[in-house]
Amino acid sequence: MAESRKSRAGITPGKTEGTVWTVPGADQFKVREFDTISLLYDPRSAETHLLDAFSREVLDTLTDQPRSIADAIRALTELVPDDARDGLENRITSLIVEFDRLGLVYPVLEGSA
Amino acid sequence: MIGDVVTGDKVPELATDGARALRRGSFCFRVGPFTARVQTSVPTLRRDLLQIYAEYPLAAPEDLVDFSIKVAHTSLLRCWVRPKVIADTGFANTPFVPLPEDLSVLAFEMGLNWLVGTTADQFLVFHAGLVARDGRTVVMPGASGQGKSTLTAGLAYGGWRLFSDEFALLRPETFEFHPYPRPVSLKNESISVLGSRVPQDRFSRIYRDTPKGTIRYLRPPAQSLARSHVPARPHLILFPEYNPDAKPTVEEIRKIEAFALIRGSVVNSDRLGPVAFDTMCRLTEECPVFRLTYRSLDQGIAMVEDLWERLP
Repeated sequence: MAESRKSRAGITPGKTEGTVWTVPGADQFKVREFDTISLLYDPRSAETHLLDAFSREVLDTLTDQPRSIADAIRALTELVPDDARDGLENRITSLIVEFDRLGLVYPVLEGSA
Repeated sequence: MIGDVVTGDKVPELATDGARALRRGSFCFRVGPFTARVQTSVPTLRRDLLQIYAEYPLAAPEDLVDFSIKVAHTSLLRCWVRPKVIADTGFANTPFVPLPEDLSVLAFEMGLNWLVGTTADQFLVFHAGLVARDGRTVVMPGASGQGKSTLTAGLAYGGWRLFSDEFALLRPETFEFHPYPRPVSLKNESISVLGSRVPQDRFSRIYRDTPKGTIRYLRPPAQSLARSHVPARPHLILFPEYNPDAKPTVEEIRKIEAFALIRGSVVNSDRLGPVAFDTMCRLTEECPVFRLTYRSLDQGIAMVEDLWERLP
């Protein structure tokens, strides 16, 4: 479960107060779309990731500006119709944990040097 | 050609005895875009190599050598007692295992395959069969044992130009496939399937008890070798699967799945990085991709021909 799985940086998702997530190196990503799926190539890892539309939106939200999970949830909730918001927070949190595991996002602790 | 050397006909600048040149390590020939140098004192390999590669062009003295392969007995004792040989490509940590002397040509073939798969990074290298017609290609990626070599050989001896049954080489800068026509490695049942439709003098002898069962090499059609310097454009991608018990089907594959399958068939995508990604995306965008299930070689060939005719 996402809440019990530590991220690659050793941060427990359920205890991420103060954690701001950022997407360094986004300008190096190569992105192509086929059907409704985005292929994202990360030259740092030479990995190609498949993102559906929602995953892409979450990553783009963090690319636009570094955000905490709470901020990301607030920003994305506004884009989602009311009847589709069930479980949204868990989905967004799980995605950010997964992006961290894949090396696409990095946590920046507030107040860190 | 190598065969001219074997028969003793004089080859200007290269008039030499083939066996002596192999012993001395000065035997160089061209296979597609590469020049290979071979050195061996193993009599079985000398004989088999000069027969199987008889129609391949010898390299010119000024040609740069891409690959250098030595096949030798594993030890002095193994020259006489249950003789075993192994390929030496000049690299450490290779995956080769000693083979009985009678299977020396397999050691050579594996060595050359390994060199292409690990060092030919001027190309995007696909584990695939590849044939062409009218300057356009059909590339058939697939794992070993799914029938791609048999289908590739059947198409090659049915009028298509053979590029390769093992590795498809795509140059990213020009977006063209380059021929790499190696002897086709037929295994087990495939030997009799092709044996009934191709003249026997196109085959090597039979190699038994290999790690992959019984093998026989089929020499590429002479016309394919004669044009092994002429590239062709990507046109159609097929994922063939021979299954005598399945219903024959032709299924177009969605682009996103096609990309994943194409990526899985490329052996050097990690090393080529962004160039590989861009080239695989372009291939996915520009070529229709199908999955082909067929029950027999004749049916597979007919399905490929039919699909080719239907495409714009």
